[in-house]
Amino acid sequence: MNGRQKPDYILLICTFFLVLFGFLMVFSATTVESLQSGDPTYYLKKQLLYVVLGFFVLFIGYKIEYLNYRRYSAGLLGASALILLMVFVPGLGRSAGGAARWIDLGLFSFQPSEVVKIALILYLADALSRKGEKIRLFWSGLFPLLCVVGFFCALIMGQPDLGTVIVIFVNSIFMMFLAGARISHILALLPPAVLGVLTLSFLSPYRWRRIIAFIDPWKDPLGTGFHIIQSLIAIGSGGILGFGAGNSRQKFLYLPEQYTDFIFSIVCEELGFIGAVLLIGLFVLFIARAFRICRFAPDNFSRLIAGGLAGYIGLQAFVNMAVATGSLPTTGIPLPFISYGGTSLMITLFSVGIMLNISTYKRQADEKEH
Amino acid sequence: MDRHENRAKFLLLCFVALFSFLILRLFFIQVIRHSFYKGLSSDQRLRAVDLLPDRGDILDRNGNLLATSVEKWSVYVRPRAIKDKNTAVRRLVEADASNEDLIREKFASGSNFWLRRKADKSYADKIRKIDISGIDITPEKKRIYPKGRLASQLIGFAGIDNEGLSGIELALEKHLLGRPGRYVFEKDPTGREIFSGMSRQVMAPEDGMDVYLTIDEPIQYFAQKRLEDAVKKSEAVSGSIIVMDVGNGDILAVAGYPDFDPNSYSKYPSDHWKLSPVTNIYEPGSTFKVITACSGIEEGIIGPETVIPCPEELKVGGIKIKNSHALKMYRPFKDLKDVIAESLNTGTAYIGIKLGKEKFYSHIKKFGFGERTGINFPGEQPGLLRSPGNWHDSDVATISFGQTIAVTPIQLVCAVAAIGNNGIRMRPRLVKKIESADGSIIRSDPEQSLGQAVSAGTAKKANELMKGVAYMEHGTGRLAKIDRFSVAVKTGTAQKPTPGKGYVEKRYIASIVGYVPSSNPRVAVLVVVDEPKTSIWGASIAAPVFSEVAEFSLRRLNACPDL
Repeated sequence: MNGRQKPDYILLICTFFLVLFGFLMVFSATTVESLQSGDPTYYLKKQLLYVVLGFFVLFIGYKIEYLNYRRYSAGLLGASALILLMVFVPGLGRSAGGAARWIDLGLFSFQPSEVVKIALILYLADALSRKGEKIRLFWSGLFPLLCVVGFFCALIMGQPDLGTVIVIFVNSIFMMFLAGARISHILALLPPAVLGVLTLSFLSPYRWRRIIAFIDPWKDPLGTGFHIIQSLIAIGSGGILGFGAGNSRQKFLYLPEQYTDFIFSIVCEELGFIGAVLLIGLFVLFIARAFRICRFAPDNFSRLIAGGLAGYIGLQAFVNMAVATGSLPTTGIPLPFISYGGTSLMITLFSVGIMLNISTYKRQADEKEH
Repeated sequence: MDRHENRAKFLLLCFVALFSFLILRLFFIQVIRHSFYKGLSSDQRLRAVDLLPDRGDILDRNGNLLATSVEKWSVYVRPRAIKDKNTAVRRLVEADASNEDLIREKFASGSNFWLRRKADKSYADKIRKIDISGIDITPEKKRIYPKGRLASQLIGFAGIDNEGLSGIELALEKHLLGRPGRYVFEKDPTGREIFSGMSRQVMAPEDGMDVYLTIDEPIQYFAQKRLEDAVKKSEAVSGSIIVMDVGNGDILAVAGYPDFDPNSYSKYPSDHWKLSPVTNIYEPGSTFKVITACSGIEEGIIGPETVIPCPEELKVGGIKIKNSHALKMYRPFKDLKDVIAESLNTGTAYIGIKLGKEKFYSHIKKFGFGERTGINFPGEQPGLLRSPGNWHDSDVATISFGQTIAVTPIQLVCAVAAIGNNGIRMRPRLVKKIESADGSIIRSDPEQSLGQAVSAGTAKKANELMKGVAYMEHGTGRLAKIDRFSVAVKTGTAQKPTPGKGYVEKRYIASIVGYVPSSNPRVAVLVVVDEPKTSIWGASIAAPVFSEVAEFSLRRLNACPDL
């Protein structure tokens, strides 16, 4: 085939290190839970399975020609909407922590909202690239797509999962921005979006408590502020060099969700400021490479896919770490590559696969120049 | 295309900015605020526990063990920490069916509880087999009293946390307890030690000291046994006995009856725990006549041969004084020897009247009445001795034969022992020495004189009077005699005053006090029997006990016979 090159190995190596980092951190962060369940390697074995499956999925993503998504993106999105609705079907949906976010498939369960994220990115990339310059118009360009995004946000809001809604919404805006939407249109979207989030927060007592706790966790250090304070204690007590790998103290039941949404706090505690900066550096390198793929993508469609995927991984990483450091109110967003959990890891690695596939195509403009 | 590329660069820049912000935020938390969070982390994580020292032993004067500590096992259950509660309840009930209700109730409420404190090893082994995290077995020291009821009221007992609650266990808590050590460890929020945590002993515990009492186990046993027999045989309510070394004040035996077993103290009424010879007061009755006689002799009012008017009835301060028993051979005048030997109330009342309130009071004070003896035992009573300004006119008469005055048995035995010790009153001693765990002596109470109660000459004359009680034809204490040892005693048969009713017929305290051998006194003995039913007389109830206990004590001390 014409115009092919080697995939972006730096992105792949970066991914490999992130996954390895995550695997080791999950091992450390789950020791206490594992010992309680009786099998010290329970979580380790499961995570190892996810990692193996994840790289298999990455390989599949790499092998699928990205142009195929063009044909199936609308269908994929429709299917993911159906899966999303299945969460609410009794017997299939599984609740945890007051939210119905999982589908139980017997052997394992998965989070449909993770599937929606990628389906929506593929759909938007297709739709936006088809619109071309029409995207600069609001009603015929931007508005219909905003309706689609809004529909999915509403579905996910039904779970309810405001954090994911915000990530999906912001990432969709990123993609519209990348596709060339007018800055004025995007800025005009901001006030209603912020207002919407505030209204939703105000209407739900637990969300409101989280915001109060975010503003002043010390008001109720054993209640609403507990989670944030324990996270800050983990991070702060780590200092520059940390307690050393495996030596977290906060993982001993002090910090809840220490191997899922708050695993970054354990990273900071065990590996210190140095380790945390190293991890952030890996993410920045990953995102920089992803945007490089975006910039050198062969066409508008693949460019928007790469940008969307880069944005969604970067946004999740930022929101997760911001929550752990008390810079944003608590919300359940996993840290890509690092947090324990199958669905997130597989979707993320599949995304990497897609980006690698795109990176094998040379930019058409470059072709012409030669 | 250029515009698009710039927008991608712009987004990347946004991300770089966001992550840079995170790094700044981390720098603030991890570097600038590090010590603050490290402090919080330590505060919630580090826990100090006391390492309990071994409580000191209590021993008799020869080192016989009276109280010690042994290792037992306690079972603590934390229902919230147990995952499979049904299995845990089932297996616990299997192992300990008697506590089924407790187990179910505590699991229902979810609160932590002691399933059993200080149980035997076999019980601990049964629980250990259950092997569920959340059921903890900890070794604990249990206080045991190998001699059971022996000197139980003196030794006292320690509670479930090995804290002294009564007796010597309470009085010398400071020495017996020792100093706890400290162990610091890292814990999780449920309080369990973190397995990867660092832990260290900050301070080693210092074991408690051993206390050697002055009592002699065989004398104590014998005295206790004889007292019990006498109380039971006479169908009395209770009794007290004291054996004291005349020369140095060492208490060789002290007990009340009924007593108790400190190994299961809670099963006995709390008044059995009290060391009645020290904590109870009573009207001494005729035994007090010795003190009256001493006071009279000391003041030069009378001598052993002085003839004293002894009418059958005497009126003083508006009340009638009578002799308690009909005289076998009535004579209106008797000498002091007869008055004491036959225990004549009217005769001693005459001495009291002659002395007058002030003088009589000052002599009674010199014998140590009305104040604590300094024995240092919790709950010691000072007795009841009013100051002479508050005496009724009749009191000079009634006090002379031991009414309207209340004393403790220990006061009386110390006062009488002083007569046998050339008039020098000794502080009664319960503790011979206190030894630290490494064997060095921390404290040994020196013998201590509390002053001259009466002159040596008066004491010598009083000694003759008391010998007369045992050896004269009409002496009330003839049953107190011992083979080959001369005795000096005074009996008493006191009517018991009842609050609000005055002296009630048929309620008496039979007692005897004295020392042996009279020529070179070694031990003083006091026996009090409260409300005997078969006979009321001190002479017949208490005197035989005196005789047996005094003889046993003399032989135990290898005393030289003087007869």
